[in-house]
Amino acid sequence: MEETLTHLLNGFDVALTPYNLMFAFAGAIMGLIVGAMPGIGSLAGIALLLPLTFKLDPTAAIIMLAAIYYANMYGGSFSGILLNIPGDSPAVMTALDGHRMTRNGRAGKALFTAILASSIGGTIGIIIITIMGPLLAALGLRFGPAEMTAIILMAFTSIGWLLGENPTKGGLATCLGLMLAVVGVDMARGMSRFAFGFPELLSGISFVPLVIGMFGFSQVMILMTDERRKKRDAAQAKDTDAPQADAVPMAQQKIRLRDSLLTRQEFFRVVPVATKSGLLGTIIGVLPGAGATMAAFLCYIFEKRTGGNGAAMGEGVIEGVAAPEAGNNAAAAGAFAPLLSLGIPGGGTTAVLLGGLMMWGLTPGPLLFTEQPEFSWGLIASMYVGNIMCLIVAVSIIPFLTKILQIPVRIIAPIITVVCVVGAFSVNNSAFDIGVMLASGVVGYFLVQYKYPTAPLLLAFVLAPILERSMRAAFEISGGQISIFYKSPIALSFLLVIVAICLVPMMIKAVRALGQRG
Amino acid sequence: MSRRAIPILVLLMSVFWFYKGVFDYGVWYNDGPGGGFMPVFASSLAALFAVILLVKPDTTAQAIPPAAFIPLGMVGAAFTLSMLVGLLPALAVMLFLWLWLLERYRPLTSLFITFWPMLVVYGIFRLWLNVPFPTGLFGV
Repeated sequence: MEETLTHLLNGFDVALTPYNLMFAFAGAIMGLIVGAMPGIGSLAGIALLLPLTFKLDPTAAIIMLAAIYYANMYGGSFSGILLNIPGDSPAVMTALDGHRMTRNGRAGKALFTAILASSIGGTIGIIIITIMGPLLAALGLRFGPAEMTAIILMAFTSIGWLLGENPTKGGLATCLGLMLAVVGVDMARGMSRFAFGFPELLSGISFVPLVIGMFGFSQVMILMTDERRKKRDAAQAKDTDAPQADAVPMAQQKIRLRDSLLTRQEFFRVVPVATKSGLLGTIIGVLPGAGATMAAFLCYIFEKRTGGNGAAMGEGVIEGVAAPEAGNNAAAAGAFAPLLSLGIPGGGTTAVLLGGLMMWGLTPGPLLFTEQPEFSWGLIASMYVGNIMCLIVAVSIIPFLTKILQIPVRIIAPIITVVCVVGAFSVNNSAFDIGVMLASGVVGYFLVQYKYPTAPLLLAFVLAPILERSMRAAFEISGGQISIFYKSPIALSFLLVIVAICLVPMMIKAVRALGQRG
Repeated sequence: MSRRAIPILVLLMSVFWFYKGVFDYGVWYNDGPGGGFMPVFASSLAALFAVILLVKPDTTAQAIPPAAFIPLGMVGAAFTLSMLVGLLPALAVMLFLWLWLLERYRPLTSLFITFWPMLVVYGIFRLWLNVPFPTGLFGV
């Protein structure tokens, strides 16, 4: 524990340099604004802002990306509260009570509650990863190639199975990601695979254009046709779907900071809810595949069932805003624990962060804490600083949010397109990457329209090289024997978890079907 | 048919990946996986999932509206224009025309809206990140 504290203090030395602080601050502002834009979301937001970090050193770059990531989580709730159109899927639950509060003329209070709860949840998540990260890394030091192979396969299975309504689609998306990841020269054997004569493909499909296309450009294609666009534009223009006669339209509300502050009584209603949800959200965030959305849903339901004011939730109470917001921010922080200590991202957004780390030559995993403590602890310390920064920035932009959110989607969509093209080009200064971005965008759009989860594809794409390397090393150690995977107790337990993840939902379904017949 | 588009495409892709993995790259090499091991592993599973989805297609999938491909056409046109005038001016023209013709903003408003994001893009990518954008025939 003492060692952890020493490392953390050293981390603060790194995080509090003016250079790193400046980029954490820039990340917080950009993340909040992008997160607040409906329909963009944290994944697309990070993908679009990724090229901005190219000129920075790895520590500053990842500090900025991390700030963008959790600022996005803050920002996602803003449009949900003000327009009833969540900026991101975790904010769906926040919108239930948050928008009702806006209708009742309490938009400022709802925003302040969301920000405060996000900050509390995020801080709890960061405290837990400060303690858990080194412990997980110590466990990870026992991992050999067989264990690494098994844990990556477990991550694939859990995210493929848990995301979306149809596990088969999740599985297909994972396999598609694996197939795309093998394009390029196989470093172990020195042979070119699936390059189709394009020299640009010899080093593989570029990660950043793929991410920008799949999550940024596909969003533009969705925004061109999406109902959300019409709904949002209508909400901004007239705000006519008011359920109550005395409802106050958002466009007519002037949100002042002093009206937004919580009273002492309200503050003490928010803190316990946010603390409970923060703890629950962190645990959910650490699990691969679960993520911020599931955390927000479960924390809301948990508070509704167990909270003192649970019965009123859904009618516009601050507990209904605090629980999902604390939960999703805690989960976002919790997802860093397996990412940093084991090199296993829990979802799409952390997979982008992993890709970013790899781009700067860092290999997350158990050795990161021992070989690059300056970086790993600097990042953890920056999360504390960034969380406070997000709180300050978010509170100070409350009065301007109505204006920011009134930028119509019909202006946002073409601007995102320009950013996608420029961002994709700037990776390798190659027009080929614009083509990769466009193709990925079309693939991403089709996947979304046909309800395939895209996060498993990204996770598989990022982790495939590590999987291939580990699998190859495991077989070489064992002389080609598959028994290496079940002779190790750690690998065997991961494989059993994979079997359980696949079989348990099927068994539950079968039991329910039998029950209904009976 | 459209509901089955993704499984069919993935199935075709996985057949190709499998074939190349087995016959060109080699699945096994001495005591370890060869260059074709991963493509064969991924494509076999992909084919399995694709077949399941072909047998049990998703009935809730949405149709693809043609308007979704407008951005693709706009970027394609801008890219072609970039060979003549350079990438950033071509993107500025695309943004202006998109706002004016598609989104029905007045020309002056469209010009005003185009100016600010392009200025930010130029400042960040050209001046700060030093990205050498293609300049076209006029060297802009």
